[in-house]
Amino acid sequence: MSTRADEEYDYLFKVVLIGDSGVGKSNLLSRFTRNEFNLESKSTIGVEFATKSIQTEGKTIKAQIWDTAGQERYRAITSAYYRGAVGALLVYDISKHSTFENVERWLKELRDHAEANIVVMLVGNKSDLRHLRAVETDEAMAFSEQHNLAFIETSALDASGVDTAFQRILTEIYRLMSRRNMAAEEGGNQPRLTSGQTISLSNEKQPRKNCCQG
Amino acid sequence: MSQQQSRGLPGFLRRTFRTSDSNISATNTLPDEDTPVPSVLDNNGGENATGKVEAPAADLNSEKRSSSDSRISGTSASASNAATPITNRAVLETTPTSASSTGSRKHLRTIAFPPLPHEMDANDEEGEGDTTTNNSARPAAAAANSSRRLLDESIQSTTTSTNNNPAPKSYKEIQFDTILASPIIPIRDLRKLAWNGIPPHHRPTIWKILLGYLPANTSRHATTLVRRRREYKDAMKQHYDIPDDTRTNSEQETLRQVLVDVPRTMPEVPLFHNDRVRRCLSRLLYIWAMRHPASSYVQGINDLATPLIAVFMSGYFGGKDCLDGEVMGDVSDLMLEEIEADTYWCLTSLLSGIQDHYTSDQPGMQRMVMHLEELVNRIDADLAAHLKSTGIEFIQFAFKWMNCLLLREFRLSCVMRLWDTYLSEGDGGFEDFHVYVCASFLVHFSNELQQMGFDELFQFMQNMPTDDWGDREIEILLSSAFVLSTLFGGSEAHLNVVRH
Repeated sequence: MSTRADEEYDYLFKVVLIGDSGVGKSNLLSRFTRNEFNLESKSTIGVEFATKSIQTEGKTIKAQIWDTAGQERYRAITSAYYRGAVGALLVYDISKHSTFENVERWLKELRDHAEANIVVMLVGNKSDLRHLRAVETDEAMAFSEQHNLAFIETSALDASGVDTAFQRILTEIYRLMSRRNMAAEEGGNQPRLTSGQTISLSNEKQPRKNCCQG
Repeated sequence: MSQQQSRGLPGFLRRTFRTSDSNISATNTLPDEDTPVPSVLDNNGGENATGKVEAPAADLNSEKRSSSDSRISGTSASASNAATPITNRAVLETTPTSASSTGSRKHLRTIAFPPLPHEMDANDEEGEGDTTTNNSARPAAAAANSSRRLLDESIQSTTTSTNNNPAPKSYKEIQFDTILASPIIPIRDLRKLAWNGIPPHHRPTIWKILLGYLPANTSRHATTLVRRRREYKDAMKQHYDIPDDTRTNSEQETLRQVLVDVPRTMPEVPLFHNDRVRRCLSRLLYIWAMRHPASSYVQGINDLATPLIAVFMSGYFGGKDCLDGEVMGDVSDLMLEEIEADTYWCLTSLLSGIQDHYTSDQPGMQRMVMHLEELVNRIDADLAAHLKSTGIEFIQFAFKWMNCLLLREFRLSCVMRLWDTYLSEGDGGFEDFHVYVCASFLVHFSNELQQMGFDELFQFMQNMPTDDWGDREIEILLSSAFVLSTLFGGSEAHLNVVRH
């Protein structure tokens, strides 16, 4: 069991995993939520789902992560899952340049279907495949700066960068939310504070050192 | 009732359907000689009604017919109405010989052969209950098997069969042998028989026939195969054996997608780790995509090809299970070419029946999911209400069930059994009947699901606990699906389904 159903949390953030098929979205999810990697994982049909809670800045944040099918044909179905998402990990495969080239197309998907202020992080996965690298880090970094995206390279296989990626995007979402919390002009699609019962819990928590952001 | 059995019975069968005319409750499994009989039937223990079934069955039928939409036949479900004199046992025993059941699906219940001379005797013996040597967990099944053995022996002694196999053949196998030996195969009879499961060594041929790849006229089988395999080779030359730079961008994209998916197709089945098999699969999927541009290749179609490959390969080894891949050393290139071509054509035929499942926006898929939801609303309102209260949507978990036809939910061997029935159902097997199977499948876990919240539900649905399922569980699922199809089939008004 990867999650505890009765878990207390301060915030619930919905995050989607998108990107071309075969870039390793499902394995990023299983690495993050269950610390598992499966070389022979099947293609995702429709959508899959997992949750994990993390601590950031003294708060418990429950991430509800939706892993979507990468193939173009499924866009009509998967785009429905963007609704209410506050974060997106846009994944490409550093050993396949075409998956990086398609990032623009995925950004357009988000513009068309997701909330306007969704936090997007570009993730170059399969960083363990050094000898097959087809997308240079500099190139991806420049791209992400240009498009105002966070950026990280990960390897679901050797686990490097995976926790950091999720921790960073969730923290960033949290900061954005708390800044915007007062305004609270948006409706139900925004992450909401849960009832007061969690306050006692959070008192016991040590504020966790977060990974620095750009 | 043993735990295994109670677990095996779909929960909703123990409940009562709300139908307009009557309450339909516990039903039997399919009247298959090789199918263990669920223990609900055992209540009728010593009562043997073989000879006196026709009348009550007819009563039941006429009673049913008076309702506007119900097509329950006496052989598929028994009314719980105490006034109905029919017993479950009677229903079961009569099935192979009764050709009088009503409804358009009667062929599924009945077998076209006349009663065998020894059947009565064998069934009488069964009344004595010689079950001591059998699995005590399944007394009814044991009784059925025991009677069947007697029957088999008597058949063996009276049949001058072409059987070179020293092991005695079952009644069912002999029926298959007889049908397949006909110069013109009676397709309707074949469907009736195959609905209850096909013996593995007959499966390759029968699937090809039921998919319309092989004609009913057996004298044309050989020439048909030669011609179709040659046509496939031509298609290969035209679409596959060409330089990559002559492919358009979208063709290259399709090829890329196929090549991404093939290595992760059925990874739990060693046969599909084999490079030669993977090459076949890549090629036939790509060629199919080239020839069907309206849908092109869609993820999940790769899954659908796997039962065909496995079954057709087994045809070269007497029906032996090839899933461990160990036969590959004995599979010649020629054999593999034939398997590939046969799989291509049969996949084409299968997909032609469900075309709009894979075209843009996948309208067929959405329709099926909607149908499923309506069905669950009808048969298990508590579950439907619970699912709704958690916020989970049917499309979120059932899309995969439709897209991959439950290949992601069951072991491949179970899928083969499932498809025996789907193929026998004819046109609607992979669409309408599949939805009934999905509904039975979901409702089977009703009690567990109703204890779960959204997260847990979602996780559960992503990995349904079917590891220990075998043919028996599949057959129970199929029989409950059959009951549903007789209750709701052809009456979409019931379901408020909007057909596009």
